[in-house]
Amino acid sequence: MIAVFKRELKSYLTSPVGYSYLFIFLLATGFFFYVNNIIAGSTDTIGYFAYTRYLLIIILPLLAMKLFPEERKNKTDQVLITSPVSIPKIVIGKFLAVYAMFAIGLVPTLINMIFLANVGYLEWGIVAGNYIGLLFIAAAFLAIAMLMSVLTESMITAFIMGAFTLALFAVADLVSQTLNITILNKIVSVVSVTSRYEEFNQGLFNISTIIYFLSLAVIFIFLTIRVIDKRRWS
Amino acid sequence: MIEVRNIVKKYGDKYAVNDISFTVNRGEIVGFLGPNGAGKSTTMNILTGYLSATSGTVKIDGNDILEDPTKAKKLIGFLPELPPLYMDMTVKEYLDFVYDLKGCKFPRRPHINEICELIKITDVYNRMIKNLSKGYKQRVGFAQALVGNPPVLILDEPTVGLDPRQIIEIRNLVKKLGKTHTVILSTHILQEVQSVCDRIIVINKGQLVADGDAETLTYKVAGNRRLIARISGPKNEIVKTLRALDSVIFVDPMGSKEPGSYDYLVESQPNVDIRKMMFSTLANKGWPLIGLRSMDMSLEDVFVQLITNDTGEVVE
Repeated sequence: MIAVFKRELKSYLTSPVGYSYLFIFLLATGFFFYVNNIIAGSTDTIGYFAYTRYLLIIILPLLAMKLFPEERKNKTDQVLITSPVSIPKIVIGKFLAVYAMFAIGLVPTLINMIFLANVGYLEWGIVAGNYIGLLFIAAAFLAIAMLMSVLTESMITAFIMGAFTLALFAVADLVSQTLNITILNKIVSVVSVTSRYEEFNQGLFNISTIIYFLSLAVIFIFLTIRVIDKRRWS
Repeated sequence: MIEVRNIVKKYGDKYAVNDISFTVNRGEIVGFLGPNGAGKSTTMNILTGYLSATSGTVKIDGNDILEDPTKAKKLIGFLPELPPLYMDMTVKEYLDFVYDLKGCKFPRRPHINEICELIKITDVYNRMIKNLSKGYKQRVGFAQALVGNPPVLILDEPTVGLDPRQIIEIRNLVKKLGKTHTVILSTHILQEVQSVCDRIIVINKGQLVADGDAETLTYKVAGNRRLIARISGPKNEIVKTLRALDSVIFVDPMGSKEPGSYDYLVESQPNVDIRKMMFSTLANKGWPLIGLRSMDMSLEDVFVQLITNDTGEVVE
């Protein structure tokens, strides 16, 4: 598992995918920061984090899209699957690598917060809540995007499918509010990412919210393992 | 060492592998022979646990590949048809990765250096894999299979796409490794099995068609034994006399290659050696037999006959 993790993370750090992610993520968050805080002259970070959260819909599939299609195209999955490492360990190794890569991109954005704290009053509770919230939501979203990447042999398809699925999660609330159908509302209120996320926005940590995001991640990691295993049988 | 029982692999309702069973003993080099698309790669992928068989079992040194995959896979070094290389790594990084992946315990550097010396890739050790020639890529793939020193090597067409000199090098390497490893090697090149393998398994259309060493296969498949006899004497009488012999089914004069003699093609019934009888008969008549050679089938002929044999009968 550690071998898979190390190789995957290294390949992110030496490949265009890794750098495009860092470039786009830092450019976009920098822009959000500029609009939301610099121009507005505000230390209120709620808007900044809301934009960043929406950015994840695009940026996480971009990061996860190379996890499996490349391996299948170059047949390198043969060396993984025929090695004594079990499929769950391979998948978890890869997941942890993409997750670490995301976290690496998150680190430089702390500069924005440090800057704000120096020029005015910053509510650290909200900042901490949002960073932890981003980490949880990214775990769930990356697992979803990873499943999409294992379903196809093309990185582009993996990216589009990933972004589309994540967008569905994000707009579910809006849709259900507009349509206002009782059953739909009930379902959405259970699975909604947005409403759950609100708690982090207020600097609250609710154990059920954390379990919700973690179980999303676990379910989609499990599905990824199943897809690979199933493919060997068909 | 390797025990394959009734493996079947179905894709939809098409059989890629249909009920193949065989056992490979420790230290054997077995050639897996068959035309393209016969099911060689599928079988090897099942042996190594990359694919799962629809039914049937594979055991490596008693460990079932599906029930005890970690133990079984530790015993196998696998070189797939396309070497599974990460193009963005150097040879060193790649072999280090495989070493970690296989969870090897013995000292890293001496082990990897030894493999590189053996496979002759030391001079490209620090180069990116994507910049290597096809021959070198194939060898790095081979090196990968040897990492961890597994007792079983499964090599899927290890010489495909190499130049003649490299082919000879790889074959010699396989022979050398065969002394200490159990090897299964697939190929559609006949000289390869002939020069490297102790035993040949022929598969066609997903089925096992023959299993044995080269000589047995030739003998069994050839059926009738054909001899070419060079005899000096009256042509028509010789033909008559030979045809009159027991067990001779066919005699045909082939032409004169040497002044004063004539060549005859003599075919006998299977499993009967007519040479002594033929010699004494001719000697009694006073017609000297000046040359006799058997017209053995080449392995090519055997192979073609095997895979066109519609009965699909297993020759043992």
